[in-house]
Amino acid sequence: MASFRSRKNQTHFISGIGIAVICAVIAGLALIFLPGDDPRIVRMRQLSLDIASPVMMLLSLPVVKLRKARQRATDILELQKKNDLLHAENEEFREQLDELTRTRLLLSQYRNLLALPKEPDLAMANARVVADMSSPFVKTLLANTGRIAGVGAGQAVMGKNGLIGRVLSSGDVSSRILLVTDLNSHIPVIALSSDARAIMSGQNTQHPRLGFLPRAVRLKEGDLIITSGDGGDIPIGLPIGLVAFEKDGQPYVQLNENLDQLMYVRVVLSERRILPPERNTSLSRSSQEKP
Amino acid sequence: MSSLHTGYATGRSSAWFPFLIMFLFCLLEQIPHGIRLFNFIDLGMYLAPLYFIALYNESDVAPFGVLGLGILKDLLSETPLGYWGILFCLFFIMIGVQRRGLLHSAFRVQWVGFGIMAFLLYLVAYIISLIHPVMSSAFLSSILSALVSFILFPLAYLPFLWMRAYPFHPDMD
Repeated sequence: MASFRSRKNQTHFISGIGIAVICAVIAGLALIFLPGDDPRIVRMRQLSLDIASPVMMLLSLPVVKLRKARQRATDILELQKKNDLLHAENEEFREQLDELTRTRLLLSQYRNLLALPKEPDLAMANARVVADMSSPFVKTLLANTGRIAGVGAGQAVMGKNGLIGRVLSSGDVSSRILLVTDLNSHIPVIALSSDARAIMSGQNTQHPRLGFLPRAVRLKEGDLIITSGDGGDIPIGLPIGLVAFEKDGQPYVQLNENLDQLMYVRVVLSERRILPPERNTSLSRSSQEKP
Repeated sequence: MSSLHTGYATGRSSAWFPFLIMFLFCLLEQIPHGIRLFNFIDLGMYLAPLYFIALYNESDVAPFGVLGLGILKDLLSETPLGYWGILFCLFFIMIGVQRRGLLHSAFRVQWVGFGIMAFLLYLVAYIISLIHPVMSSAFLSSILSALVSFILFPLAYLPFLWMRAYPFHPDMD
């Protein structure tokens, strides 16, 4: 038995190092035998983050202010360049607007014609990133939104330009977000132009890789990667990034979003059920009304 | 630097202080800084207070405190429970074994000692992350993390030595 007194008293059965060895063994056993997805551990993790998130928010305030100031300074320096870019984009979008209206109309007609189910609208909850737990070992974030705002595990999380990850777990006021670059992230996707389905898996590096591709499929550099909606957790059609290739020919995804610069995120609060098409509903109603 | 006291054990009131700083460093590492490099390396600032605890804290409760902080870091940093717990305890043991030699040595020697221990620790961290099914890490990241924590060591460690050398400190011998 170790006595919890100063070593000066010289009444020890176990030295300080001996106690540390026992502690290391306890930690080692926890590392080997405790499953990471155990609901009690997930709850404990979420609770500790719920408690720590206000402290982290407070600690991050000066850094957030600095980052905003830096962003503002960059914006001012690049004002002319950005203005030209926006003008060019505006021209391009104006040209695409007529085509978009026509496509929307055609899409709704085709949908009605084929009696396709209508995808639910995407409701979003905005949140601020209060902690960046990214390290060489894991890639996760902590956002200051939770169950109170309707956030739950499995929901997709987007940045300004595309998907960045999904919610691991949510507390009352905070949510853990698993980034698409984390080793444990696997998201079903589609490469748009080649219509190939694949699984995008994180590698704890800057870019997630594409795996489980059909053998016959040849991806092209610059193919747009979007979510496939398989599994039902993440809605279909969320943009992720573009296909690129490593030197060894392995395809990876060049993400639309810069994961290091995230300050605000949007959680997609979509419902899992898919609504029936309107035409079917009206038909069923009229058939019900008939005697 | 070497004129600072490096050879006495801490008293009661200063015993908890390195733990608090270590906890704060654990939290500070998770602030969203927007710097890409820091997402691929660990600054390891919390290792300096841990080094101080291992050298100067004589209480038998200290290893439990170290384990508790490790588990807290695991909870906050999304690593599997026990990962940082075992690493912190191993670091404590490694320093504890060398304690007699390091305690009375000059700051430069303590710094080099820390560098060697930090390198070994990140090597162990890398090996565990290779073995563990839900973790992965690059070797270069681990080596860079050790190097950065070695460079930043005086920033986090010297205030503790200054605190000990402060003449009006109640625990000064």
